[in-house]
Order: sequence, then C-alpha cells, then structure tokens
Amino acid sequence: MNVPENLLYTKEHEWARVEGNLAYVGITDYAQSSLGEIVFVECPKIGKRCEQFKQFATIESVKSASDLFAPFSGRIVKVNEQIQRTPEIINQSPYEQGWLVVIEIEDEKEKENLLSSSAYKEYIKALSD
Amino acid sequence: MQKVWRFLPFAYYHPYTNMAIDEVILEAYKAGFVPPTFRVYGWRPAGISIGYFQKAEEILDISACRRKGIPFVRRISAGQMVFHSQDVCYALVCSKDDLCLSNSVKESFKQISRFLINAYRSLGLETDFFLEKETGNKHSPFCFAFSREFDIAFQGRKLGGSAQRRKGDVVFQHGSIPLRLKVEKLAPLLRKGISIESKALGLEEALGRPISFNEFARLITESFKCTFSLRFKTAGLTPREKREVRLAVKRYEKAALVK
Repeated sequence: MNVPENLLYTKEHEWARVEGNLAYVGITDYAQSSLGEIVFVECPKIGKRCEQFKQFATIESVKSASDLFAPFSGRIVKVNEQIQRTPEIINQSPYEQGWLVVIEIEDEKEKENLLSSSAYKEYIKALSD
Repeated sequence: MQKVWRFLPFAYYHPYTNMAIDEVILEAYKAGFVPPTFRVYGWRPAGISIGYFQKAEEILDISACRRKGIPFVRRISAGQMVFHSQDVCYALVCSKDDLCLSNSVKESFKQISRFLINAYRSLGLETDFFLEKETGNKHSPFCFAFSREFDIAFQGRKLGGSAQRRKGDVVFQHGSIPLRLKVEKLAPLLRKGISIESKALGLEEALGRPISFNEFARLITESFKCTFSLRFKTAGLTPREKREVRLAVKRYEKAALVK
C-alpha cells in the first residue's frame, strides 16, 4: 500500500499535504482500494468552512456512500474540478491528480492531531491483521 | 461476550418515516446510544426513494407524483431510484467487528448480502452474486435497470437491490426485495425520456407462487440471525430516536415541498 512520506494522515484515511497555510486534501491509497470503483464525489463549495475530523464531503463508490472527514479546520479555497468529471482518477492517482479540495489552515497546531506516514502505516497494518 | 442485537419487527410506514428511521438508527448507533440494529419494513403508502447522489427534479415528474399521491424521499445510501410498493425492505447498522466484516466496502457488502442468498436458498431458489462489473443500462437512474458486481442474480436477472452508507467504522446497509415487480406503475411518475426497462424480477416470479410480506420478512430475519450466529432482542425505538424521527420526517416533508 502506497503511503508517501511527506504527507499527514487521519485515522479515517484522508491525507493532507501542507504547503504554507494551505492543505491539499485527498483520500489514501488504502481508502480508495477499500472503497473500490469511485463513481461520484460531493465536495463542499469554495468558501465553506470545515472543522477538523468532522464530515466535509461524501464519496460514492459502487454499493456505498461514505463520509469524508476534514484533516484541518478552515475554509475551502479550491475544489478539484477534474474529479467531478472523472472521479475514477481518485482510484488511479489518489495522492496526485485525485486530490479533492484545498483547505486554508486556521490553526497550525492541528497538525499535531494527525498521523505521520510511519504512524499511519502501522495503523493500517493493524487494521489488516 | 456476544453482543445482543436490537430487532425492530416488520411494520409498514410512510416513506418519510421509513427513511427517517434508517437515518436515525444510524446516527444513534454511531453516537453509542443503541446496540447494533436490524429492522424489516414495508411502505404504506407506496413511494419512491432516490439515491443520496440523485436529484429528484432530474428524474421524477414531480407534479405527477403529487397528483397521484406518491411521496418521494432521498435515501442516505448511494444507488438508484426504487419504487416501493410490493417490496420487503431491511436495514442494519453495526460496526465492522459486529459481523467480522472485511475492510473492503465491496467485500463487506458481499459478506452481508450472503444472508439474502441463504434466505432464497431456504425457499428453494439458487441465487448467486453477479460477477460482471455491469450489465444492462448503467446510465439509467432506475435501480432495477442494471446490475453491478455483487448484486444478487437469479437465472441472470437481478433479485432485489441493496446499498451501504459508511460513517467511519460504522456500517449501514439497507435493501429492497420486490415480491412483485411492477415497473409500469413507475413510468407515469418519471420525466419524459427516462427508461424503466427492467433487468430484474420479483420474488414471486422467481418462486412461481405467492409469498406474503410477513412470511418473507420473518424469513430474512431468521436468515440474518443464522448467517452471522447472532442473538436478537425485539425492541422499539428509544424515546430519543422517536423524537429524532419526528424531526427528520419534517425535514423530508419540507425537502419534497420545495422541489
């Protein structure tokens, strides 16, 4: 399972790539593989505020609708339009082209509540055992 | 010690109430207020449920639905539109551990749906999972127009439909098994150009004999218990859940009015 080093993770299988005060957010390779073929994503509108670990989006895979949880509190400043047209890119490229939204981080300290790459690897290993 | 599941016995409810109960038992379980729960239910009056991601105004002739007194309601699960009239529905909410479910959503769907295959077997029907990715018109907004992997097939035709909602580790799944599938009743309620060509069949057609709502509801309940070796305790909604259901029903009524 691909777990890039430079990202932070939630226990609900979202990732965040922090660039200054912005966080690119998506779902992990583990999540996309568990969900199966993704057919639709309902993302929040630009300007909407989300709260750390609270639901901010919903993703539709074959047979299921699943809630996604925000890794940071803050306003949504960008939404990936490409995933609306071709949601399958989340399966193909969860960490690159398949990002979902960009959050403007309100409180940098929230990083401390997220998992490092090695901690997340351990976490998903325990789930699979 | 094995957890005891709460069982909500078969009853008919209004479409808004049915979907409100499903929503509320999911939230109550997630909040830790209630044990894992299994319910069986029917729809009175008949109604239409649309998938969480579908838009009523894009598929339904809303004035026709109102004229004919057919309520429509959005489900919390994914999937396509279903006309509920002659069907028995089930819903369950639990954690992955309660049923030793796989981390894979599709796999867990298959694991859960095995109880239906066992129920059909006890009626003498040999059913199996569709293995092809998709068959039929996958662009149709109608649940019984096409099949996806792990839908249940009887002689190549879809028998019933189910879908999940996930909230973190909480698994919610519900499904509809038509005893009699009368797709022609749906046609006048849809927007022009929407096909209801069906690739499915009702249970009575598969069986070649009539079966009552109560008989089939009892059968799937027993099958669910036996498939997963569970202990059930028959109960009702908690007072808190009843309050939440009333609020959710008002929300559904309002949502249908503004379309």
